[in-house]
Amino acid sequence: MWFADVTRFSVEHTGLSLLNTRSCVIFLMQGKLNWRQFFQSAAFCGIDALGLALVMTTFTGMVIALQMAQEMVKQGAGNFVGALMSLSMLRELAPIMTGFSIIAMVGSAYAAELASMKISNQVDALQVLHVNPIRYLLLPRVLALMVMLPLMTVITSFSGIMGGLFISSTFTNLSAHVYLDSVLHQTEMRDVFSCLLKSLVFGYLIGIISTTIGLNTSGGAKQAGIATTQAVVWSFIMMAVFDYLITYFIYGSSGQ
Amino acid sequence: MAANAPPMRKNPQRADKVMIEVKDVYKSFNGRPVIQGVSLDVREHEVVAIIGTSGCGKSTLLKLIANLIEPDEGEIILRDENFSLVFQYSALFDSLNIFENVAFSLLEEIDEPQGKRKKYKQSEMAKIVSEKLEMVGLEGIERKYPNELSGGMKKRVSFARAIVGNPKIILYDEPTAGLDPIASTMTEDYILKLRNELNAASIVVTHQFSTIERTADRVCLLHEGKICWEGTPEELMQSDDPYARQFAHASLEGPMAPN
Repeated sequence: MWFADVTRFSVEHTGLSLLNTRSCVIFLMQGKLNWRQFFQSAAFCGIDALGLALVMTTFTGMVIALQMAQEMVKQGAGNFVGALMSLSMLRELAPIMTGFSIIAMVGSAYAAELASMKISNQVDALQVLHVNPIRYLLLPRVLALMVMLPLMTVITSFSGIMGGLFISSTFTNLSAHVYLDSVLHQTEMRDVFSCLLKSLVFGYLIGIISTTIGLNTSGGAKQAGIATTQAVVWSFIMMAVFDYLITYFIYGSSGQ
Repeated sequence: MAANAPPMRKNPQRADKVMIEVKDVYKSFNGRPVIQGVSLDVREHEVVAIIGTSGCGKSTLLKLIANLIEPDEGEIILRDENFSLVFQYSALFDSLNIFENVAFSLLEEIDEPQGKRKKYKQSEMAKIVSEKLEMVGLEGIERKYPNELSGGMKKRVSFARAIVGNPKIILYDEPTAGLDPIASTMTEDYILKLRNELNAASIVVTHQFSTIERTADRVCLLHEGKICWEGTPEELMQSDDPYARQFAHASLEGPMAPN
């Protein structure tokens, strides 16, 4: 029963998400983006959720440094601490942690907002006024996440690396120069590329999943609550799956 | 009763052009039939009331006519693309203020069917919005948000939003449900006023007798997804038809089981 429900839900919403994506692409190619909605959503991600993302990544950077830096310096591998921090941040932690923050703050808000708009007939009202809900509600929100998440991840990667630097130089005798030198020399272009690609894809996934689930709600307040939970859960799951796929695509075949 | 008489008497003899054509429409949800072969014509300048017990398919019929859902079978033709629907619970956009709500179709890019909207200057829009708000007896609330208004005021704002494009077809979903008797009478007057000023074809879904009597030229009684009786409001009150009689006398005895 449970398995059947989950399967039905995921198949149905995958289909709907793809259809909505197609509509979004068509509207975007026609240049029909609602800039006001776009900037409102972008400001919401960039200003409201950035604080949370910075706290998450900075502390994660500090935790890793605390656990690894002392040991590495003791083993004589002090000049790899910076590289460890920058690679783990860029390749994995910054996109994931920023994604988590966005799911918690933005994805859940999108789902709840669209679900309550749907339930209170505001989506029907849009249609009666000849405004396509996909164009008006979905496209600006999804696009805002796809633009903002990579930008935010650049900032949060930096703050994570700086958090690592702070702890490394406080708890060990590692100099900032050695740390930063290691960061700059052992970070490759593909690590930056991986970081940006992951955050772009996560932005798309969180955006499309939250808005599609929100927009397909029917019923009452209880269903709006369920929709929000589902949006968060499915965003987590899809983010984890695509994290693996992108990592495999970039690093899997090179034997590293 | 005389004081409460409709402000403008209806004239069903006028032979106006048909604006809404519903041709043998069927609709079911998850295998449960809701609309089972409804045909209905509404003319210019005519107000048709659709009545019936709760769950008889009235709102579904309205949604079908408003093209919010597709019929399984049959056809619905609106002779003018410029139509509007007044929602039961107003459905105002709560992230926008009253001005933006009423001016929504002037401000926003329209997807279909008219294509490009006319560009309005801010001053023109302000004039149109205040004109429409005045028409429903509201003034100076443009900067407020929907959650600052009472239920009755929200309903009137949603009237104003619906008529901003001077629609030729107006659909009302229970316009007077949940309103006090005075607000109810005002709303009924707006329906007639709009009918007269815009020469619009109107459909009113309702179960309120005052609304039926004061606004409708014609009444359709919907039961189990079919129109089982049709006539004027006067005929409804005097009819011998078992369905019409039961509804008119609010009786428990009759062919319609209470839901």
